[in-house]
Amino acid sequence: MKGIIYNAVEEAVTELYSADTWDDLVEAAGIDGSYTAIGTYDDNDLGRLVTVGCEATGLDAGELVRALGRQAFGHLARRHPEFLVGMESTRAFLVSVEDIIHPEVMKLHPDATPPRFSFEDLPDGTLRMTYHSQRKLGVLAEGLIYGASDWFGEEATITLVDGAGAERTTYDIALAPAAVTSDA
Amino acid sequence: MESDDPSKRIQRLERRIQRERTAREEAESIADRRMRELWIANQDLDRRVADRTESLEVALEQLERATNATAGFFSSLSHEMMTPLNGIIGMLDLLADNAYTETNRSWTEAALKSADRLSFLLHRLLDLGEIRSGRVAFSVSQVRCGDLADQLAQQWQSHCLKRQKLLSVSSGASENAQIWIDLRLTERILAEFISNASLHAESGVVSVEVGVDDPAAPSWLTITVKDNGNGFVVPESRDLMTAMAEADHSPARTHDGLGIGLSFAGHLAELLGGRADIVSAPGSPTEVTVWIPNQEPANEESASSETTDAIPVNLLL
Repeated sequence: MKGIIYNAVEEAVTELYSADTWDDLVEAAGIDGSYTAIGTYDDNDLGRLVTVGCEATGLDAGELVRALGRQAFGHLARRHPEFLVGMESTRAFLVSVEDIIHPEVMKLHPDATPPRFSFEDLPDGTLRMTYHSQRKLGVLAEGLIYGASDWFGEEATITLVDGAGAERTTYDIALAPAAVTSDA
Repeated sequence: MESDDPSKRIQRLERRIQRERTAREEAESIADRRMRELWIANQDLDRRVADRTESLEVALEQLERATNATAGFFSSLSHEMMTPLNGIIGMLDLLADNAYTETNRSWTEAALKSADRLSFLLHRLLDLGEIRSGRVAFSVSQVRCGDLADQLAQQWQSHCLKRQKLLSVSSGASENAQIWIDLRLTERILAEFISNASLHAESGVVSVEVGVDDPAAPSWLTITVKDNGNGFVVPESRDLMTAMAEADHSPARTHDGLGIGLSFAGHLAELLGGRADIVSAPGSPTEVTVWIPNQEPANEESASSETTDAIPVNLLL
């Protein structure tokens, strides 16, 4: 997995908890924990981090990865703002991932193996998305989509359709403008 | 608590710094490797570009050699053919003048006509060779329009008469205007158009008008050649070789090498810095206007004859 994902997870942990928490997780997981964005690292590092993270927080793996993914989107967006130029909605961004962002990633990192996404518009306006990857991290993608909807000021409702924790996971994504919260 | 113990706190921070340092060093190492790969790829590309360029240069050289050899062969062949052909024409002339019977005379004249046509084509081939070789001799001199008109009339009157065509050459208001041109090359251009018109003019009239744009201070010599023939399709291609390839080789063609001759004359006009505008269409009369710029030398001494090789050969090939 590319180091930029580990960087994003580290920043998410730091923002949600603290830098010390990240230190503790790295040590408890027994991993090196030194990640550079352009490097490639063992996929198992993430699994070990999640295992110890679950023990520390009491969350289940799905909830934790989803929360980290949601938080990590901001890091990725700040790191690569060029991929968001002209994007005005979560939907536009999502459909650009496969055709624009991942091809660009492959130019810089020919050894990268990003997940593939396929989309289908359902009659009710819902976007059906299928995640394909041997890493079986559909839930991380789910968290990142929540993060993208936060970024675009939208409210996402993501429903698992099929294949939880599998190499092929399908979600229905409903997007709506974020509800205006008022203290009045 | 660990964080309350200063020494533990320092150890934690040191480990954090170490992780950062390790990450940085790895990033630097990756960047170094990428730079090296890029450099090697660049070297490879440079080498491939150099190899391809060399191959292309060799191919170009071979092509030029082959083209020059072909051109040389045609030029030599044309020269070699001219000598016996001149002999044939000379003898045919004598025969025509001393024919015993009218039938003999008409046969001899028919043979002479064919020989003339062959001679015309051979001259054209020689001209083409001269231009293709990139060496055309330029010689600029001052010419009076009225004199040029008289000269053209003298040169072409008998040619037109032999073809039952009446030639009318005039210089009108420009008669006394003087302009600096290469007379030899200008005449070669006009030879194409006048001989062409003499073949086409149906009712036997070829008119040539010699003029200038401004008789007091001429910048351009303009010569218009008109016939009232049936016209032709003006060749689209300005490229001599293409014109040659596209020339009508069918038995139904009416005139030899029309496209080649017009393209040739057009290119000669361009070599002189001018142009030739051809207005014609099947069923309509033809009007050709040749524009030749005034080439008055800055210093009269430099008006002497000179040979230049500054001819853009790619105009033709």
